[in-house]
Amino acid sequence: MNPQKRSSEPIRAHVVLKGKAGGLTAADEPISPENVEAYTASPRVREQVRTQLENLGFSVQHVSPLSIAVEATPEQLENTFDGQLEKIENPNQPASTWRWSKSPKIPGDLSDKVDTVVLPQPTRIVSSG
Amino acid sequence: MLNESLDRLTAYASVRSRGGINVFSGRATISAETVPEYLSTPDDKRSAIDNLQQKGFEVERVGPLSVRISGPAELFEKQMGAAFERQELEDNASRTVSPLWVPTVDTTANLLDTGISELEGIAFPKPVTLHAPSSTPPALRYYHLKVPDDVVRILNADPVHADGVRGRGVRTAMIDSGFHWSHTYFASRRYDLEVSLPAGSDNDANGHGTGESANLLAIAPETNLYGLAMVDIIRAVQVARDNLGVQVISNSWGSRADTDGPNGFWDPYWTLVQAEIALCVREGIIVLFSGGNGGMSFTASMPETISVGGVYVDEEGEMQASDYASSFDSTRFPGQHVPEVCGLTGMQPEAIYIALPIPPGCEIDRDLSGLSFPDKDETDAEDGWGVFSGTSAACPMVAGTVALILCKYPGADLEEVRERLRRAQDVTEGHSSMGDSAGPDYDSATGHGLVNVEQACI
Repeated sequence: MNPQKRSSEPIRAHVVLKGKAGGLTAADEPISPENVEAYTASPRVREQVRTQLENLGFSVQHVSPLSIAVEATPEQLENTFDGQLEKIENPNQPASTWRWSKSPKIPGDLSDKVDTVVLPQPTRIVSSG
Repeated sequence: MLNESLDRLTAYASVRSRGGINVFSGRATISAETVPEYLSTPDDKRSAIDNLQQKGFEVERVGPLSVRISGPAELFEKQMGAAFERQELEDNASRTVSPLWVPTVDTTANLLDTGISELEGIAFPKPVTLHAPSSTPPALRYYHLKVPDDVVRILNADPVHADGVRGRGVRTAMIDSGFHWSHTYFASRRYDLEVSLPAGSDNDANGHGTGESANLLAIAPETNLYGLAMVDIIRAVQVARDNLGVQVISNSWGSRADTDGPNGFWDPYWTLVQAEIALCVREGIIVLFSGGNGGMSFTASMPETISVGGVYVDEEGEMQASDYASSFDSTRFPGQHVPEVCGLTGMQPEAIYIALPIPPGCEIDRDLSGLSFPDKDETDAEDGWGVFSGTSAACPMVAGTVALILCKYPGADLEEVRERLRRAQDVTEGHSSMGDSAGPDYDSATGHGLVNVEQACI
């Protein structure tokens, strides 16, 4: 994997929501089918965050109980979440992936509803040959 | 446009080339640079059209290089001395044969001397090949399995299919590289297939998903199979759960870097993936993952997913643990072991084992072609077939088995499904890629053994 120079093409990110039990990434218990519901956001919170993200200029792709998928330029993500992004080229992936080289900070008006922002990570198909 | 009736034949007439060389002659060298030499003057073209119409031909289209004409066979015979013979045009995909009328060999020369001075000659359409892949794999000199029959036989699915349990009504998703389901292998079998992400596309540049879907459909040929391309795993999981309402998800992928084991690397992204999968299981979806081909991904070791390892069955039916497949104790989820149960997987060095339909010329088609077995599969680089496996192949076989269980027992939950999968074929020989040995009953290399569809569905 080689860090590459950035582009201003929109990238996909997932805004992880907070539930009754708080944020997924701060959970002090393993996430399981039995407790995952406590980490889902209420429909009202989902809609509030969706609206806030759209007002910030993000293109909302999908809203789910656990997270909101958005598309935005790296600069938008960095500016909104005060983080730094690094592009990773993967020879066996159809598209490049990104990672936070400086962790994101959730702005004050979102911090009670949003846990963090994660970026799709490289996968591999489990094939032979 | 081929000539299927003598009542109306179509031909292309070439008007005299302005460069002086007959386009049909052996001296003609046609390229992007020289093609202007083979265009015609407007006067020659107009005169040729007049002559053709006076002789009774219909002029259908006038192009820069030729004039398309049509008329009954008798007209071509009378005016140009042509005679015609019938050929049969086979369509392998639809298994139909169409008639095709072409000039006889001994009258072909007459078509270059039409009696119209402005014409260089006429040509009749010839059939072309679309390079559609065959619906059956190429003949190969080495031992390998074919879908669906060998997979059905070895996993004992025949009796279940014979009872009418074939997966009908069960909604299954596969998250993979893409799904080229217009391949003749699938088209000839009338499967119930839908590429759901990206909607309506049928692309699979890699070929993996297309091939693996054949393994799942071998076991559950009547399931409703939804294909979700793995561009964004979270999105694919959400669509499968929230939009498609599937009951089974087959995953032949894992994290690229190890996310389990002593050196597992963790990104918060995987926490969200884990939670999305947990939400699937909470909603009653059975989620299966390949156990890995030497790697350690948390997706397989999650307590709520069914991890699938590999067993190799040779020509004599002897079974052994695949030395290509992963086996490991999870460090992320203490007490969890991969694999839980197995499907079919080849052996080192490349696990070249099951002939699978893939898009012609895709990455797998090209990468596996060329050299000899066991390093390469000896198929053509663009024939639309590849011989491969890994636990990628094993997982959809077990996912297909789960679809059959849910078809026969619609209320079965994860625990019941697991209990049924444990009624597997005991594998006592061989070792996994990590060196775990197979042995009687449950073992570290193969878990409960090779899935037994008949026993799972009793």
